[in-house]
Amino acid sequence: MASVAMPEWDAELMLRVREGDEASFSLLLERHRRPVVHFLFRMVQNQAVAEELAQEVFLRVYRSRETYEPTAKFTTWLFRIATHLALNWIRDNRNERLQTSLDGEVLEGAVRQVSDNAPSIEQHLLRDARLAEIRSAIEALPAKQRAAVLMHKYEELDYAQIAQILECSESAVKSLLFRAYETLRLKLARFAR
Amino acid sequence: MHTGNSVTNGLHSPDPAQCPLQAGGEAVIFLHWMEGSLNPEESALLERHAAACPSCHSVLQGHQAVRSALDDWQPEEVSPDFTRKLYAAIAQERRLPWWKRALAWAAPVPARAALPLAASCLLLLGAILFQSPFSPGFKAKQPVIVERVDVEQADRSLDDLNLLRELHEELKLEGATAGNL
Ligand SMILES: [Zn+2]
Repeated sequence: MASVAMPEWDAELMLRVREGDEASFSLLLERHRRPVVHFLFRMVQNQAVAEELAQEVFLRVYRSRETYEPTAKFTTWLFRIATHLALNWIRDNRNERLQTSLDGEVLEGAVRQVSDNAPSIEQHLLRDARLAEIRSAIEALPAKQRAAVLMHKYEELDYAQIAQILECSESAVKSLLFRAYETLRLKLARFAR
Repeated sequence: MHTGNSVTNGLHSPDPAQCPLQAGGEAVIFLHWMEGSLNPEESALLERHAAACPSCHSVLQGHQAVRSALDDWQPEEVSPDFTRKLYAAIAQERRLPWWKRALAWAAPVPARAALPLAASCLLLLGAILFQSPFSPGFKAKQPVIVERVDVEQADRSLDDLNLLRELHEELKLEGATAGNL
C-alpha cells in the first residue's frame, strides 16, 4: 500500500516550479540530470543522442509545470518520459544501428571507460573487450527488456514504478527482467569465474 | 528498493524435485537473489541448495558474473554545457508566439494523434480555397502564403501531458481496485 500523506521532495519541488519558482526547477535538474542522461546513454549507447534526448525530457517537464499534479512519484513520471523518448528513438533508428553493428563498429565510449592508470596495455585491451561485450549484450536485448534491466539495475526503481513506466503489470515486469537476465547470463557466462 | 516476495517454496528440503529450476515456469527467485531482496534466511536456503545442485550453482554464478559485469559499465560524465543548453532551449521556447504555445496545450489528448492529419487537411483546404476561381480574392498564379503550423512541436508538447494523464488514470484505477478489495 502506497501512502501519500506527505508529498515526496521532488513532487514538492515540482509544485514550487508550478508556482513560478525557477530555483526549484534548477534543483530538480541538479538531482536528476545525471541519472536521466546515464539511463538514456545506456539505452541508446551514444552520448550525444542521450544528451539530446535528456534535454527533451527536461524541456517536457518544464513545459508541464503549470498542469503538474503530484499523483505519481516524480521519478516514475520522469523516467516514463525518458523511456518513451528512448524507445521511439530506438524504433526510428533500428536499421541504422543494425547496420553499424554489422559493420563491426567499436561501440562509442568503450575506450574512454579505461582508466589512465591501468597497469598494462594487455589489461586495457581485455577491459575494453569485456565492456564492448557487455554493451553489445545489452544492446541486443529487445528494447523493453533493455529499459527494464537498466531501470532495475542502475536506477533502483521498484517493480511498481517500472510497471507504470512500461505500462504493464508487475508480474510482466518480473517476467521481462527474468528473460533479460537469463539472456545476459548466457551471453556473459564466460565472465563467471 | 525492489519489492521481494517470499519465494523460497521448495527450498526447505534437499529433494531434487524442489529445485527452482525444476519447479516449472520462471525461477524469479534468482532475480530476487541477485537484487538482494531475499531475506537472509531465504538467501541462505537458496545458496545451500545451490551448493548441492550443479545447475542452480551455475545459474547463481552466472548471475553473479552479470551483476559484476554491469557494475563495471560506468557511463561518461554529462557535458558541462548541458544545463546552459537546456536553459537556452527554455528561453527560446518562451519567445514563441502565444498561439504556438497555446496550440500545444489547448488540444485535447485524443486529438493528439489526429493533429498532424488535421493540420495537413487545413493547409490543403486553405490552399484550395485560396486558389479557387470561386473565391472572391482569386487572382491567377497568386502565391499561396499560409503560415506553417508547427505540428511536430505541438505533437511533442502534448506527449508529456499525455504521459502524465495516462499515469493519473492508471493510478486512479489502481486506487479504485484497491478500494474494492
Ligand atoms: Zn537446483
